[in-house]
Amino acid sequence: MVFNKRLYSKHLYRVKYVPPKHMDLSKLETGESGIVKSLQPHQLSVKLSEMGLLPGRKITVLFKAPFGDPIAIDVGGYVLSLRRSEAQIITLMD
Amino acid sequence: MRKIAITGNPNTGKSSLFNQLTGLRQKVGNFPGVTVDKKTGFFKLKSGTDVEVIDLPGTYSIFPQSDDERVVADFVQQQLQRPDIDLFVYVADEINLERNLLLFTQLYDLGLPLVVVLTMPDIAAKRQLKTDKQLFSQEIGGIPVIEINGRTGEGLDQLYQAIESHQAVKATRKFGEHSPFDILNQTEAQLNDTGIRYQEIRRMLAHIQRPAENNRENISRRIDRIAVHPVWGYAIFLSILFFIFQVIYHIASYPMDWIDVGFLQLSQWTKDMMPEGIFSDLISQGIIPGVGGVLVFIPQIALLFFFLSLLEESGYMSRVVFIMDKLVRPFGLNGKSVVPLMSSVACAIPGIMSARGISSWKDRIITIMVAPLMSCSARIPVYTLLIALVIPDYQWLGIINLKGMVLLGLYMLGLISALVVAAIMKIFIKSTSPGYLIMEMPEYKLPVWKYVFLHLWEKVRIFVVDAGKVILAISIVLWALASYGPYHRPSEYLTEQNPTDSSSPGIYKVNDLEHSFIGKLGHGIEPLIKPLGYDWKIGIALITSFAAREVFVGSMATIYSVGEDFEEDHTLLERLRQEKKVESGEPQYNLASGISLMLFYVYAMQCMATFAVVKRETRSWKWPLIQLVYMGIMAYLAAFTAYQLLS
Ligand SMILES: Nc1nc2c(ncn2[C@@H]2O[C@H](COP(=O)(O)OP(=O)(O)OP(=O)(O)O)[C@@H](O)[C@H]2O)c(=O)[nH]1
Repeated sequence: MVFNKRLYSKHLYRVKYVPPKHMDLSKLETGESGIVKSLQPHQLSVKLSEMGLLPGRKITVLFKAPFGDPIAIDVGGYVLSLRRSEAQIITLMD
Repeated sequence: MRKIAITGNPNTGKSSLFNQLTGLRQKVGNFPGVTVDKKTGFFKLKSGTDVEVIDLPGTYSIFPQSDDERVVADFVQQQLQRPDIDLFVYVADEINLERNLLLFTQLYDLGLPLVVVLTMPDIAAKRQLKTDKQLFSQEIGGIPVIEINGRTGEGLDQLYQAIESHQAVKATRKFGEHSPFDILNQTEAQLNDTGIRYQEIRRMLAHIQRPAENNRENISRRIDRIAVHPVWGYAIFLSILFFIFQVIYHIASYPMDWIDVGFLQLSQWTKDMMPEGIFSDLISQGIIPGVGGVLVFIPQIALLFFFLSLLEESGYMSRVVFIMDKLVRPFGLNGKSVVPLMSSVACAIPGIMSARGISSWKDRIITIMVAPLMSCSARIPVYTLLIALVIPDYQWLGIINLKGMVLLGLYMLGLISALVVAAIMKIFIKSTSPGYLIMEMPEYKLPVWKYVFLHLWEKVRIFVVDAGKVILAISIVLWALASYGPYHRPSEYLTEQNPTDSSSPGIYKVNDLEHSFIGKLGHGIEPLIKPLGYDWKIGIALITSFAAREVFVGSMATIYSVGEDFEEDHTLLERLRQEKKVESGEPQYNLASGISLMLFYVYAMQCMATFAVVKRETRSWKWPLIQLVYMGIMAYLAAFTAYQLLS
C-alpha cells in the first residue's frame, strides 16, 4: 500500500498513521522467524502450499541474495528459495 | 518384460537410483508433445526377467505447474486408463519425508501399484534420524518400504526382490479428501486438499519417524554464508567461470586438433584407396569431413558438461541461480538462464543443451534464442583476423591496447545484445504458466564421479545422434555446393574478357571455390552485400562459414590461395591488405568494411551445429528458423549501419 504523505499531512495530520496490519514473508529480515497464517489467492499459492508452506508452519529466513531478492527460508528442515514477489503471497501471523 | 517407473520429488536421488539400476543401458527419447526428456533404461532381475525403467521428471505434486510436471500428471492419468506399468518406484528423501510424501499420498489415493524407496539413509544416520520402515509400511497398507543409498547402491537387493515378488496391495486408507484428478482446475480445492494431506502425513510421521535435532548449524549453511555473499558470492562464481573457460580453451584445442587432423588424413587415405569418381568424392570429401565436423565439437561439449554436472551435483548450481536471478530478471531471463548463457561463451551448443534445467518454457526458449549471441570461441579466429587487418596498433598509457579493446568490445556487444533481445522477446513470447523461482536449495554434496561421467556421456550421445544427423546433412550439401559448379571449364569461363562458356550448363566438378555453386552464389549476393562493404569473395566466405564461423578464415585463405595460419604466416594478412576494390581501387579491407564484417559475425547465426541443436532441443524447425532469420536481419542491419557511417 502506498502511503501518500501529502494527503496525510493535509487531512489526517492529527491521526496517527498506522501501517497496514499485513505481515508477509517478504518483510522478515535475515534470521527472523514467523508462522504462516494464510496464502493469498494467487496463481502460485498451490505451488507454495505443496512446498510445505501451510498455515501453522514456522519458517525462518536463512539468508538473502545480494539486493535482498530472492530469499532463502527454512521450511521444516529444508531450504527453499523464492523471490520477494513470491514471498508476498505468504501472510504471517502478527 | 516388466515395466517400472521411477517418480518422486526433484533432488531426491531418482537419477542416482536409475543409474544404479541400469548403468549404461539407457536411452533418451521424449514425451509426446513436450520437450521434456524421457529416460528409459533396462536391467535384468536374478530370475532372468527383463525390466524396463522409465525415469519420470521430478515433481512435488500431481497438479502441474510446468511442462515437467504436466508430463507426470499426463503419464499417471494414462496409467489409470490403460495401465502398463507394473510398479511405481516412489523415491523419497528420508531426511525430508514430510514434503516428499505429498506426491506419494496423491499417487496412493489413486490406487497405483507402489513401492517406497527411502534415499539418503547415510545422512539420516549421521543426523540420528530414525525411520521405522515396518510401521511405515503398515500405515500404507503393506506397501514395501526400502532404504537405498543412491550413491553406493546399498539396499538395491531388496528393491529387486520387491519388483520380483510384487503383488497388488489394497489401499487401506485415503490421505486426501479428493481424488487429485477431480480437482485439476480448482485452486481452492487444491489448497484445501494439500493442507489435509500435509496434516495426515504429519500425523503419520509422528509415529514412524523420530525427528532429528535440527538446531545445529550444518556445513551447507556455513558454506552458504560465503557462496551467496554480496561480494564473495559473485567473486567465487566469476572465478569458477574463469577457471572453466581457461581449462576449456587450453585443453579442448588438443583433442579438437587431433580430430581435425585425423579426419583430414582419413579423408586423404580413402581418396587414395578408392577409385576416382563421384562416389569416392562423396565419401572422402563429403561424409568423412562431415562426420569430423560433428565429432570436433565433442571435446568442448564433454568438458563443459563435465564442469556443469560437477556444479549441478555438488549443489552449487542452485546458489548461482539464487544470486543471479535478480540481475537478469529485467531482461526476461531467469536465474537458471545464467549458466547456459555463460557456457555459450565457450560454445553455444552445450549452453543450449544445458538450458533444459529451466523449468519455465518461456524463460527456456528465450535463453535458447539468445544464447548464440554470446561470443563463442569459434568467433575468435574471425575477430583476430579482422582486428589484425583493420585496427591500427595504438596504445594508451602504455597498457591499454586498441586491438584488445576492440576484441573486448565485440564480446561485450554480444552480451548486451543477448540481454536486449531477451528483453524484447519477453514481450512477444506468450506463456501459459507463470515464471517462478520457488526452488529447493539442496545441501552441498560431493559429486559421484560415475554419475558425472554418465551425464556427460548422455549429453554427448544426444548431440552426436540427434544433432549429428542434421549437421552431417548440411555439411554434405555445403560440400556439394562448394565442389560442383554449373559450367564445365571454369578457368576459361571467368576471365573477365570472356564471360561466356562454350560448354552447356549442367553440374560439373570444379577445382576451386570460385567457380562452384557457392562461388556463383557469392557472386549472386554481391548486390545484396555491397551496401555492407563486401565483395563476392567475402560473400563466398559468408556462405561457407554457415558450417561454422571459423571456416571464414579458411575460406578466405582458399579464395586467395594462401596459407590460413595468419598469426604465424602473414601471407593471408598481406594478401588481404593488397586487395583493392574493382571500381575505385581503394583497399577492400578498410576500417569500415572490417568493422562491418566484425559486426556481421557478432550477430549472424553462422553455425549449423547450433542450428541442429536448437532443432533438437525445441523439437521443432520453427525456433531454429526464427533464430536464423532474426540473427541474420540483425547482422545485416548492424553491418549496413556501421559501413554506411564509417565509409
Ligand atoms: N548422501 C547421499 N546422497 C545421495 C543419495 N542418493 C542421491 N544422492 C545425491 O543427491 C543428489 C541428487 O540426486 P539425483 O539422483 O540427481 O536426484 P534426482 O531426484 O534425480 O534429481 P533431479 O534430477 O533434479 O530430479 C546427488 O548429488 C546425489 O549424488 C544417498 O542415498 N545418500
